[in-house]
Amino acid sequence: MPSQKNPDSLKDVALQYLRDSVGSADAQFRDGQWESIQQAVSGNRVLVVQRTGWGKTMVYTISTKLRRDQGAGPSLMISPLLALMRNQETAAFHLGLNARRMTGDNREEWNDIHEELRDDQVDILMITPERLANEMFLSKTLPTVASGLGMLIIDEAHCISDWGHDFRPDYLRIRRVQKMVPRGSAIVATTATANNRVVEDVRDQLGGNIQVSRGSLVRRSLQLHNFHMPKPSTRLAWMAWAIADHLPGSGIVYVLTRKDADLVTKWLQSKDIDAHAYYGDTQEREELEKALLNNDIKVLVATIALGMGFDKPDLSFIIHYQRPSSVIHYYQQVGRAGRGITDAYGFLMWGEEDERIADYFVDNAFPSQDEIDLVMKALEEADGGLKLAELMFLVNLKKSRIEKILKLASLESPAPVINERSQWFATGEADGFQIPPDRIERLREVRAKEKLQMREYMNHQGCLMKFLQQALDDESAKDCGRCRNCINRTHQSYLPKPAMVQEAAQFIQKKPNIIPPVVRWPIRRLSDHPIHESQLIPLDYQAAWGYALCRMFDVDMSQQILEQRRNRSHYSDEIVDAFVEVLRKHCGSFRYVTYIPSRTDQHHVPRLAEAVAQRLDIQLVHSVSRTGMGKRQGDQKNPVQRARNVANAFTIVHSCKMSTLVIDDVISSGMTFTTVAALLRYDGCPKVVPAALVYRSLSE
Amino acid sequence: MWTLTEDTTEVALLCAWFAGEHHPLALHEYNAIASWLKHQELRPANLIDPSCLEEASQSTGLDLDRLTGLQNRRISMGFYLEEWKRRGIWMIGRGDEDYPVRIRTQLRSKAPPILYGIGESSLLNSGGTAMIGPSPPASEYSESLSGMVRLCAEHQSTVISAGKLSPATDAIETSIQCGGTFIWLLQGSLLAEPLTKPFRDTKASGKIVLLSTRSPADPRFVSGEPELGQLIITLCDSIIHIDGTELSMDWLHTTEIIHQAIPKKKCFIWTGHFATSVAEHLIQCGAIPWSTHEDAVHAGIFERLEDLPPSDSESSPEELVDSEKPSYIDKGNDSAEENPDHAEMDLPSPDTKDELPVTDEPTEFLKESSWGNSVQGELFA
Repeated sequence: MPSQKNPDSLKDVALQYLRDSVGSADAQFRDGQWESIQQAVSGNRVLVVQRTGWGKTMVYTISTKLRRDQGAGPSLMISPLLALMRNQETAAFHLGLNARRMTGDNREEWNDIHEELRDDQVDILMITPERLANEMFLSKTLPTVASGLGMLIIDEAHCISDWGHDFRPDYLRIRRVQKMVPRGSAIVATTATANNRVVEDVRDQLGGNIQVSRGSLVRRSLQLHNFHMPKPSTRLAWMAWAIADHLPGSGIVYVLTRKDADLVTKWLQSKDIDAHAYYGDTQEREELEKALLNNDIKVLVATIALGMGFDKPDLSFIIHYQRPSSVIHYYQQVGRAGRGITDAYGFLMWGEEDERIADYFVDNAFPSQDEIDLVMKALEEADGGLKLAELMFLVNLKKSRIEKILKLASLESPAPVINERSQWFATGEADGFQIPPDRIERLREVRAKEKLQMREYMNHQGCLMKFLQQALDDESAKDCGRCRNCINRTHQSYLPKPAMVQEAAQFIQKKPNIIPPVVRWPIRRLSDHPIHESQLIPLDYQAAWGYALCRMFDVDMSQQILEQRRNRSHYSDEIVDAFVEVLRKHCGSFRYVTYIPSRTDQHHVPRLAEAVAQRLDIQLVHSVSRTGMGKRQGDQKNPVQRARNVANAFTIVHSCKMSTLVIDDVISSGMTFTTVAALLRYDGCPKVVPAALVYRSLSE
Repeated sequence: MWTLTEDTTEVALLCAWFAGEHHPLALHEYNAIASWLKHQELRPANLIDPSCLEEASQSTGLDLDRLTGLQNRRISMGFYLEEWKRRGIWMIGRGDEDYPVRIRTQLRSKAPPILYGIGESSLLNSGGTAMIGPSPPASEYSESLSGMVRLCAEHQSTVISAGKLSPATDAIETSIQCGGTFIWLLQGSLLAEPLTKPFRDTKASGKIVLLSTRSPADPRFVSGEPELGQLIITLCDSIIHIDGTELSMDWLHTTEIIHQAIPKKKCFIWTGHFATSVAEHLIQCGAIPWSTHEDAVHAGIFERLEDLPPSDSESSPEELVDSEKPSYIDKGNDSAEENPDHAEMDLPSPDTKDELPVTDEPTEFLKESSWGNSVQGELFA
């Protein structure tokens, strides 16, 4: 209970909760905050559209507290991301609420949570929307909550709208379920990033009779800058200069891929900056978040995995190494800085690779009807169900593509596919299933417009903050007087020193481009050959760690190599020398050099191997032969197709009984190397080291 | 896409299993509420009003906490319905227009308040040939059974059977092969429907409907449900009774229902070499001993019956509070309100929890049969 004695109104109690929560006896509600709480406590529906840091969390935590005081049941909160939940747990804790989350990473706590729910000790139960379909959740957890639900909280409610930039298919469930929420049970939906169209859509989805609390989205502390830097080396150089010497406090560098996160992190570390990479697979995400919160580290180099809900009021800068996919995403990300301080900075850089990546995301936002038909047909023709790997065997589509189709289809009602015990089954609805073409078209248009708007923003000559606000239909938008354009800063002033750029370029080139060994085949029994007997590739058949001269993002080098490859000319001495230098430095010694014979060009790779053998002064062996042409490996869209395509494509015609270097010009999935290495090793070769000129990892 | 009416939503909240601490209302309990509603000239949807629910509780003696607890499952039900709809499972209430006409008009107050199904619900009004018997039937029947199912398909007569054992499974396999239509009554969860390609194709072509009186969320184990036998006999035009020696309470109950149906529906008995005493008694009561398929056709096995008058004199209380009911329903007979407990055996009461429902007292027919006597003490004590 609040420390204030005998509060004479609900608002006084609420205000005291606010003060207790933020630890300030003078704290006051922000515009619209109390009104939203009042709506929720009265059992009404409210949509809160306010900027990050405004205090949306306060609305539903204080509302929950007041409703619990009145004897209502717990709140059920649906939130899309773990990072959000962790912050919300903390916020609830400050208010004396017991907030528990049931997520994939705390299964060991679920039984305790069930007991606490039964004993009415949980005030807020937090789940992701995916859990709404979980049978155990429905049968065991939900009844203990739903029978006396006090409030339904939908965080990041813009995800409910497929007009939105962050539409999440699983939020479709909420759309349908909210209709059953009984009278007197409040719904609080919150978002920081919704334009008018999304607000209207969310309002419709939540039943129409919903109050909207909308405020200004301006963040006055933020100074926005944007500048075009085509080369990664220039951007790296600028960041090292800026972070090391000019930016106070701590911040975040946003990158688009994990590879970029690693590259940028290592570069910054090499400049004595305390930088750490953060992405989906990072084990110590929670620790890194805490370290940043406590200013124990200078900068996190993160993908969008560090997304919605990360709340650090004194975060002083956000740098975008590449451009985000939309202005709204940008607003969301840059808006993490300067929430509780007077000066913060947002730098948006973009390079030559950005447009290609943006196009890729627009083109691949939704599966085509042909792709949907392929998956449905495979499932329909199966007598029973199919595992994902079996589908990948039957359908030449990317794994992520197949998963997306299955996800979208399984959320339809009635669903054309269902998942039972890790198998996918067609239902009677699969035949002729299509996602309405107008819906797909509409969504593609949304993505294309977002891309266009992002480009407009990057080239905008007026106030940058005003542009962002207007993009979100904030009627209070006006010039900020702080951004690059408002203060007339020139492009020249952002350019780093040439020496630093040179250093960054060398760093990119010198960084070993490791080709990790593939340790398991994507499915069992790819062929009758003993190397395919088990799915796990025995150590005796595995390739060693390999190396590539460069990666695709090393634009200068990789483009040069690919051009020579296209022209089927000799690789230049410059390239071969650089390649041999990498091999000498990282790959140890070999007795033989061999190569992967190409499908279409009989001479190109052998000549490269020959040149390498001469420079290393070791024997070239024409060890591997093609048994058939097969299909173009680059056209195989998923690991199963790629493995299948090369499973029977090679044979060993000359044995290499001592350590051998296997050369190819371009490597992507590594499945060809893996197959050839396994065959060589099965034939008695004790060590096989793959080496290639360009490593084009699939994420690039 | 089906949607729940406000009335059926309230009925489902009270009667359907969605997990939770309170047991859903048994049929007789729900009928008590329905009778009270009728008296008050109210509809089930009015129960959303707490004062209405309180009055209903006072008048029927049903615990208000229990009724409120059941009603508070609204969100829980929303999540379940969302999942069921996604899986193609539908739910219809006794007052809904889609509710099978024969079940409503013949069983009336004994009709389950809520039915769950997958597939083509219109088949439930198609009549058809019931194929029932203790499982497994003697192997000598399997060929005749297949032939009969094919004949049904040729005569466009829907085959109706129940359970996940033979003869239902044999009949359904043949029906799928020959493109016939099928009503399959299940005692377990509809979530466990088969997902094989032939089954999926049959479902997609609208030739099968699965029907259950049990909520797919009901986790309780049951070995059989006597009301399935009642539903089969109600839905069919004629019956093929496959004789067998296996005794079970459910089978006795179904045999009893067949006995009662014989005056109205043609019943053919497959007895094999040695007829059981039950088969002999059924034949004495008018069942036709099976000889050949052709004889059965001549004897009228495929005659479509008009919708039959109620099998008893009881009316369905909530029919009178439901504005959607078809016009042909007899509104005049409301004796059930005077004796709302008459149907106590139809659904588990909250006190019986996981136990099987208790059947009716045996008829004189069963008491008299030597076969009936041998198990009577055990089953009907």
